[in-house]
Amino acid sequence: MLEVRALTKRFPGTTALDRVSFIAMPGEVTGYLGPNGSGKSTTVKIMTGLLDPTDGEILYCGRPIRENLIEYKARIGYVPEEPFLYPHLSAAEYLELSGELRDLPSGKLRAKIGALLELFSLGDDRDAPISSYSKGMRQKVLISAALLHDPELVILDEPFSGLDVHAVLVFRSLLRRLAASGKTILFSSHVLEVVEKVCSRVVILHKGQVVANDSIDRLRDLMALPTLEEIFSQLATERDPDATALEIAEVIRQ
Amino acid sequence: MTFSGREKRQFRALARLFAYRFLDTEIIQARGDISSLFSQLAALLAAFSFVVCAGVVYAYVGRKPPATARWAHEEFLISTTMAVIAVFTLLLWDQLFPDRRDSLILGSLPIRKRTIFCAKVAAIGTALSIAAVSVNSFTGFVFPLFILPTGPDSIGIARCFAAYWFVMALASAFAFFTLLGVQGIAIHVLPHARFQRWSGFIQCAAFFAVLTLYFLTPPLATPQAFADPGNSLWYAVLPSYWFLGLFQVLKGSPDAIFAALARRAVAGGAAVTVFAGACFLLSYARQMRRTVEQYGIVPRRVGALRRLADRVARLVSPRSGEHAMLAFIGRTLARSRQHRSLIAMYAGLGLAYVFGGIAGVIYSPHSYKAVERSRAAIGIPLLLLSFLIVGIRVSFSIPMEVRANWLFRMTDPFGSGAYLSAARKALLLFAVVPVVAISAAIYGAMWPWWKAIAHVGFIAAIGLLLVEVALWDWNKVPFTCTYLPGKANLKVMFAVYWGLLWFLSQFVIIIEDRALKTAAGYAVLMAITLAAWLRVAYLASAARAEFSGLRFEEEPEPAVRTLGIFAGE
Repeated sequence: MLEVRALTKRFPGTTALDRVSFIAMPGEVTGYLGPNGSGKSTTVKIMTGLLDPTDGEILYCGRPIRENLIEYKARIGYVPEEPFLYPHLSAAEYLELSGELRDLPSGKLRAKIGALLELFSLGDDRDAPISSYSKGMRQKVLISAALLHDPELVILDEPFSGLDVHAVLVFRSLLRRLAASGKTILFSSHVLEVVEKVCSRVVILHKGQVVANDSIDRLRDLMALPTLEEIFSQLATERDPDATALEIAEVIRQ
Repeated sequence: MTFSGREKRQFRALARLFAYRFLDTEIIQARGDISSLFSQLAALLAAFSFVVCAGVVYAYVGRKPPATARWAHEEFLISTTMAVIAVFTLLLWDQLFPDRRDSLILGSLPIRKRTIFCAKVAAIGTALSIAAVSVNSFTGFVFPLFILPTGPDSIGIARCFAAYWFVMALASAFAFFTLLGVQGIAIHVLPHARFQRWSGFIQCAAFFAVLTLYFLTPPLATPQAFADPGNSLWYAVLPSYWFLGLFQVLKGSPDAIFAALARRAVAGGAAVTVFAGACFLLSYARQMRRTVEQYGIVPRRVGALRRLADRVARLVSPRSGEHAMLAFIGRTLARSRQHRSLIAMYAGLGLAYVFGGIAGVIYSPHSYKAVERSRAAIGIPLLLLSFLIVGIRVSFSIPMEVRANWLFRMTDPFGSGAYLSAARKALLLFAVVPVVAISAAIYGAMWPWWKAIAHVGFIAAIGLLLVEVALWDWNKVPFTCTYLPGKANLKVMFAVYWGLLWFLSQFVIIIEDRALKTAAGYAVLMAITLAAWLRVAYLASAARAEFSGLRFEEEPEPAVRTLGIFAGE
């Protein structure tokens, strides 16, 4: 179980997160939603140990992650929001680097890399440098690297970015299977249709604060709204999207 | 060809963009200020010109060297200008022709190809002109005054000045167009994917060729050498002498040999200009579209060499994390042009220093004593090794896609010590082992076996010591930490490097030369060197024990430094 407890992060001149608290349970995919700049990626970076919180803490299996950050990091798989990879390496080399840094046995690692690359349709380009890959291909490499060591906790920040329809369908099904096998999955995304199909519960963030934290079904009942999109619009959207679109169209015409 | 108002604005914007990209690398950077970038470079070259100028003034004021002695000085200035322009062109190697980024980004904008072409030409011309003028900024105004063929009348002075600057401009253009032609042939003849793979190696090969040509060109600017028919081949193939001939002709020399050399300079200059210009023009007509049409993914096969390298890396580093990092270092050094160029620059400086020594021994009119020849031979691998270690160590500090370092931050290379072990093994594998292996082959063929083994053993010991010194305060994963240009105190670093160089070239080499004469002397030398290595390794390990973790962000120097005399400061 991953517990985020009163997490606060202040940057000079702004508070990115303000006492954010929620729990992600094993066997569930927890959706983490919010408009741009709401603090989703900041939370994810703190969860992965890339950033330190100003206040509050994160507990994994009841223990603060800072107690033994290295051991905690060994148990997580992370797909970052931006596909930052080493462009001079090939997909196979990058996965090898990632696996070896996580101390996976080399024989098993190679077999896994080969199988994952084939299944993600990267087999033909496995030895080409990542610099020549499309955005979707890079995303597949990131996802493969995140799952290579069979992590207990999977943190995904916009994992579907750039993926083709087939890959999205495969990955969506994979997430459900991983959750069913007892893994804790935190899924941060803007694609609400996918979140609605994959996640059992959602946490909605707005201006650094949690504005909703419940199962999707209960939120629908509580707010008497039929879709997650409408729930999100009501909780986390300040301006009417149609009115904004109208204004943009007028500016373009000027 | 006329430009519309929109084209002129596009031209200015593109010329500025291209000029900025020439120098905006991780290595040379001036916080986005293009004028600052160019002025830094110009100041560096002007400082060199000032030093040479001081030498000229010292040699000529109060003395009147014979006209023939001035030829050597003139050839030196011409070849130096050509070498500077050639090195500068090689630094701009990736920016000379339109690349995939230019083709994809600019190709989709409403810009004519001729605007892009003209902007690129203007940017290259500006950058090279600044380099050529800067490197002659002092000598170009002082030297012509000392070499007037006639009396100091205004026409004679004007003619000498004009001849000097014309020849320097032509020699610079020749050096630039020759290299442009080399890349032009490669870009048009090789398939795109192959050119991408080989371009970096062509660049490195050209760099070493330029240095070799500059430092090992025989000094043939004397009447005796000109009169010797055995030298005719040299004059035919060494362009700096062609331009020396042109300079003499323009100053009014009636000498037939200079006229022949001048003809060669004009013909050679015209030939490379036409050829390189055609390649350049063709690249805009053909290459931009061809680049876009290429399949984006560059296919690569895992060759026998890579499999062998993998096997060696696994043998050297059986531990998983350490092997991962060693492979990462090796692949980055092999594939990153920026890092390769940096190491080539340091290796080039080492070669320059070594070549300078060799040229001194080979071309000296006075016969060098055997002891000096022996010391020159001993010093070559030691000097190259030190430059190579420093170059690789400096390249470790230049990041490769900083934002991708999250992978290392998510794992624990510090706790296992893998980061240090991999960095040390990389320095040993990529600097010490090649120098030791090549030295063993060369000295084994030249010297008695016992002396060759002894010398190679000493090189290896010095290599171990230098690697430990290089990693003294190292707490980073190579290529993953941000880099702050200008943080290093260049004046202090320069003094340290020259101190090390002096120590090696003057002290260590002399001591080794003496020690190699007796078994006891050699044993003492090796014992001292190995003891120094162990001591430095121990001290460095103690210093590193104070680190709390790996560093991924370079910290700027504090605005206020404390003296550290109070507790807790």
